[in-house]
Amino acid sequence: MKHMLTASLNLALAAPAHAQEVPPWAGIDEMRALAPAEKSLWQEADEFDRALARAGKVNTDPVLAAYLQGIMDRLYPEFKGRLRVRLLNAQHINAFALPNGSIYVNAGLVARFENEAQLATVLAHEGAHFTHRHSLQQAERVRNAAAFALVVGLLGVPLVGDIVALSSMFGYSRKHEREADEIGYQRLIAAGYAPRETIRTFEHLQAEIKAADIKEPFFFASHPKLQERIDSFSELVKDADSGEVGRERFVGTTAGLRLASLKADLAAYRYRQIILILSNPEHRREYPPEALYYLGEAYRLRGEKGDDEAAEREFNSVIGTAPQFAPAHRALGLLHFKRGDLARAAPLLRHYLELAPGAADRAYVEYYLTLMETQKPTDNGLRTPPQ
Amino acid sequence: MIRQIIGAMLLVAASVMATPALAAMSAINPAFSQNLEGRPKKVVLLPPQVFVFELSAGGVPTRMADWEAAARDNLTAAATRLAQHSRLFELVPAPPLTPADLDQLDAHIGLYDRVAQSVFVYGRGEQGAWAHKKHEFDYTVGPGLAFLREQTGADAALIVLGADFISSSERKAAFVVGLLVGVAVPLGQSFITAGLVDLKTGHVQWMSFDSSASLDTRRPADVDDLMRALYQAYPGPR
Amino acid sequence: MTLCRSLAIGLLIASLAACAPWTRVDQASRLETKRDDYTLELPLGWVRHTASANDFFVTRDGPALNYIVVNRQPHDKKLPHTKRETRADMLPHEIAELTLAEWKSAESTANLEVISNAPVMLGGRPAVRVHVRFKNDRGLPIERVMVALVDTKGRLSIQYEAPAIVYFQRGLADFEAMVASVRFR
Repeated sequence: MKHMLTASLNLALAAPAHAQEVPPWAGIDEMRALAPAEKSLWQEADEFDRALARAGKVNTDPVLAAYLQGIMDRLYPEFKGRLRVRLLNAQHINAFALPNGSIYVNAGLVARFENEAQLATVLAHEGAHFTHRHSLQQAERVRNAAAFALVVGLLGVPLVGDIVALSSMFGYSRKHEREADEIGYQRLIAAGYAPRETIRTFEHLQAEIKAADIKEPFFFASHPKLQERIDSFSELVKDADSGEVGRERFVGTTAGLRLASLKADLAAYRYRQIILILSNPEHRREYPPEALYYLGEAYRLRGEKGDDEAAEREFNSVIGTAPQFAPAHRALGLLHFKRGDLARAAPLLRHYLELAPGAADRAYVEYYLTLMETQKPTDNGLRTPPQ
Repeated sequence: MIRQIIGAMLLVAASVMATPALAAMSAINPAFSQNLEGRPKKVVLLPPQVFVFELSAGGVPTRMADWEAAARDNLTAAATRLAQHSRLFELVPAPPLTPADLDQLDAHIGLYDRVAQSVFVYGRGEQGAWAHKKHEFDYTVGPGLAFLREQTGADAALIVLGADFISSSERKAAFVVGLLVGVAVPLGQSFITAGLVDLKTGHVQWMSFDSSASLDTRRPADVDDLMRALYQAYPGPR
Repeated sequence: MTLCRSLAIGLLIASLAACAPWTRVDQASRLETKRDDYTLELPLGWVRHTASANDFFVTRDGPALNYIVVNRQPHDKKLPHTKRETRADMLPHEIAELTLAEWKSAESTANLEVISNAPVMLGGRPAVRVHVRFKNDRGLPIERVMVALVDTKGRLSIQYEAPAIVYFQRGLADFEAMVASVRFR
């Protein structure tokens, strides 16, 4: 009897409430009257939108916002006004779609690309998650997964949670990811973008994952293996016509974003990513000369054999080509200071303060200069406590 | 081992949560109860923020937009009617706010959220090391909501926050079968708090907390009972 | 949703209150010595969490409203987000840089704003003081300040955090006094 009851409990807990497939949206008019389940998902997504904005995570640059939205509207013209792209001030390579048509793309991801077609590949993919209502189907999957977790004896039933967080946790199914790849690819072609760039998009991301030793982030969680996608896209583009790459427009519009991205990566010690980008000559030529300062700092932080010299080389190169760029003087001065070469360190640090009198780290630099003045040039200033 | 611990914790939680309305859970600022003449006459009700979920068979909560709207309407109506009926204060709705005022309000509700949880766990002075909080009660959200006083003429704000997890019929069936086979299948639960904040100083004057396994915020009668229980601890004559 | 989650946890805590590991700091208990390493004075009237894995954890109104945590971390223990270790020969600005990198690598504080960052003294030794501000997803601004140093034993950090509205200022003087009371043995 108990076995029968247990079996019926398992059945009751695991039975999916609505297991049927959901048809994709044909256009905006259909969305006026949502069924309760979808309405709730949209409301939660609306609140997630507000939470991201309140927390100051959404980039407010109007030029970048218009640029991203323009690409999305070109890809999905019939969803104009509903598919809204926002740039997040976040460095991890990630993009995601919410059930209400909000598409978020991290600044760090945009900065990894070389041209508009590569960026459009990601936007087209995320747009397809919305038009094909994957979140709604995913919500069911999450419920079913949780029911299963209970049946198999994991008593950690989530009493509190939200679907957005859970969706991220569980990820889209491989089936949905494949569908988003296919729909996205069709949209990319229809919008006139170069299909070959889809391969490059995934190659960049693969290189990034390898370089940074990243545990598959959301964008890749449960996605088909990147190599598998590169192979299938390679097959697709064999017979495809050429299209627009949009390199100059991308490089011009994202120049500030890409430089800010290097700065943010450095501040969070993501030095491997900086080295990956700037040690590639093709990428490097899209950046101004002072960008090599970030490469030098990345070598310093990596600290492998020969990195100290590589850092010195990059700092010297920036001082040669952009002598007014203060941070390079500071970085080279501190590098000499660490080596105990006070005779070289002091003038560089003094010059840094002349170039950047309002520097945020002025107190540190002045402290080191004071230390140096009270030491013999051969002493290593770092081990001496101040008086 | 971890699974057993989680299981034990859930059973403890379930037994605690299975109690009916706990209107006795409240905290009162001593300065407020010592000056009953100074009780506010006019109070502005900030839009109640109650998250309402349906608990699926497997226990996954889904936010329900329509249910939340119903809960909000029920709470607003019950709070206003019962405050008037018990002659506590005149409760007026929040005025339309500019985006800047809304941001300010959001930040303060975010702070109130932290204050409410701190008062609930520590500020009620139930634990030995926190007993002093009963008479040294100085929880506040600061004077940043004074603009509401200027706009409404109210002396204080009533803030209602919480969550209501409502079991689906499949969940209820699973609970019954679970009882027979000795498997814990926790049912839905609500956690609601109401509190009064002085609009000039931001000081918390009074807070009540309620937790119930039977409350359904979609039902006006349930919400009437809830608000009556929450107001019960409001100091002073009726 | 913070509230309902907290209330659920709170109910659990309330049910286990009999063994709650808290004690109020009074005149007799405020002076503390840690491992023949350093001494400090805890702020009077704050409540100490005695089962904390940190050297000290004190709060005045509850951890969601203010807390000070003191941590002694050996150099070979990797920091959770950057996965970096500290070294005894780190320069003060490198300690500050790593502290900020660690916070910027955490999702909740990735968009922090640096209010101040400068070298200071802690117990007579060179240290850093980093003060930042960030917003949580409810739009509540929160401030955090850390005073830290490295020596041969590892990294010593004293961190204070509280919502920027009312609570940060309320506990700041107690934090500063606690930092000023540190003496190495």
